Amino acid sequence: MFDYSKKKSFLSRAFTSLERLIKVSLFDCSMCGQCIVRSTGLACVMRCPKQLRNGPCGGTVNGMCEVDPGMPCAWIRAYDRAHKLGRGFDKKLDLIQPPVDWRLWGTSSWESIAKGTIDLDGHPMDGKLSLPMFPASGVAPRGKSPARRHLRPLGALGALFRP
Amino acid sequence: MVTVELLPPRGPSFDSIYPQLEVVKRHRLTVAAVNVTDNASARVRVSGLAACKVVIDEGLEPVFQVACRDRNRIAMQSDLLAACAFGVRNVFCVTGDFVTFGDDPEAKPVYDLDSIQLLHVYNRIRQTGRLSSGVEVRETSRSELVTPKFFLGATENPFSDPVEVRVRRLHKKQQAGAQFIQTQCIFDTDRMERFMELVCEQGLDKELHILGGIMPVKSHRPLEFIRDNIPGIRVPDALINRMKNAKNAEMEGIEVAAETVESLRSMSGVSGIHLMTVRWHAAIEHLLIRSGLTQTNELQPTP
Repeated sequence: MFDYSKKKSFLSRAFTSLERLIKVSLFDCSMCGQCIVRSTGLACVMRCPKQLRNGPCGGTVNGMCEVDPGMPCAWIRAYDRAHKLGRGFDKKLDLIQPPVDWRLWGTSSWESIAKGTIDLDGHPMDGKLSLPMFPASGVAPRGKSPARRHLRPLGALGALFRP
Repeated sequence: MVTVELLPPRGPSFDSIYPQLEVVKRHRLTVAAVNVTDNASARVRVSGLAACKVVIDEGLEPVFQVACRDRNRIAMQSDLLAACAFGVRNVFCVTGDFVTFGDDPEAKPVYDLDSIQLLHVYNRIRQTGRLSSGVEVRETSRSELVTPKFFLGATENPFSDPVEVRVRRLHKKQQAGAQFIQTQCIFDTDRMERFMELVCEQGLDKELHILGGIMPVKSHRPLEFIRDNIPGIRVPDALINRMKNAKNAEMEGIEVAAETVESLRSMSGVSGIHLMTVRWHAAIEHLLIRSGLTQTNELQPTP
């Protein structure tokens, strides 16, 4: 969205291209720089034309997008996938996601996690907008889900894709 | 409880909204508030905030509607403060129809916040007196902290699929601070009943005042238009046929709306209705009388 004139370091560019390569192919990622894919059933909801981070708008018809009827609704896809992945993922859909920090658009969220500017749930660490309601409706229980087993080979990276 | 929707005019004058306000004034004991839309269907109209001021000046209670489509968080908070300064006591947050449905499909959609984040930001302002930036709401740096008081509402569309997801999202809205809910136009009462059952199961009817959206129609044509052009509203074919075959389509439209009101009354958890009459002001009066919502003493025209 914004192209900040500051020149990025080699490490930063490496992080960004690696993340883009992995996440675009896996989740149809849009590189918002504050990944909440762990809370949205491993589907990127920023594909939504309205970029809604808290559930589908009222215009979804038979699971399709109201803006482009040929495209499946990003949120319905997220709900379906979370349901298949198990209870832990499904519970996390009820979290209220804080507003987007648009400065991070196009940057690597892994880099931001490593730097400590966002947490593993993609929420900013400065706590400016955190009332007791982020996370909102109770913390997701760490239930055992058989569907998660296939994520284990990812090793350390797998931690990023757990609910 | 009854609320009425007001569509601000497209021209640079408020003249066209007075006839509707006159109708509302005659039934001010029944109609609790006038909900002023914010560039509905992504079409340019007079600013909702200005129209709210007119409603206040007429001695009525406005509901200020804020759509996330046109403004970022800075503008939405500044409009909230302006609304509070005017004496608006009801604020209503919607995501807003996408720009491609309106007259300016090439416009940049904003959606800086979504409706739930907006509810949260507004709720925080009234609870803690802090803006989204964390800055406190004070007139000058030395004056007292202000916590503006207002009633916060949101929309819900019970007719979009799947219904369980709609209820979960409604729960999120309640958590973010919504106190009242207006639903999308109800033509499919069976679906509304199913939705309300799920809402009551979750206990959300205790936390939220839910107003069912009612749109009286003059003929079958608006119904067909809604079915084909407005996503996410269910219009049963039986209803369209009924309107097509009606001898007096206008009376039939009122009758259909009155039947919907009647079925909403029998559903638990519904607190009232929200009337969307577009420009058919007489329908407000007809429907209120037909459903027995108006007090008899209001029927006398004011001298």
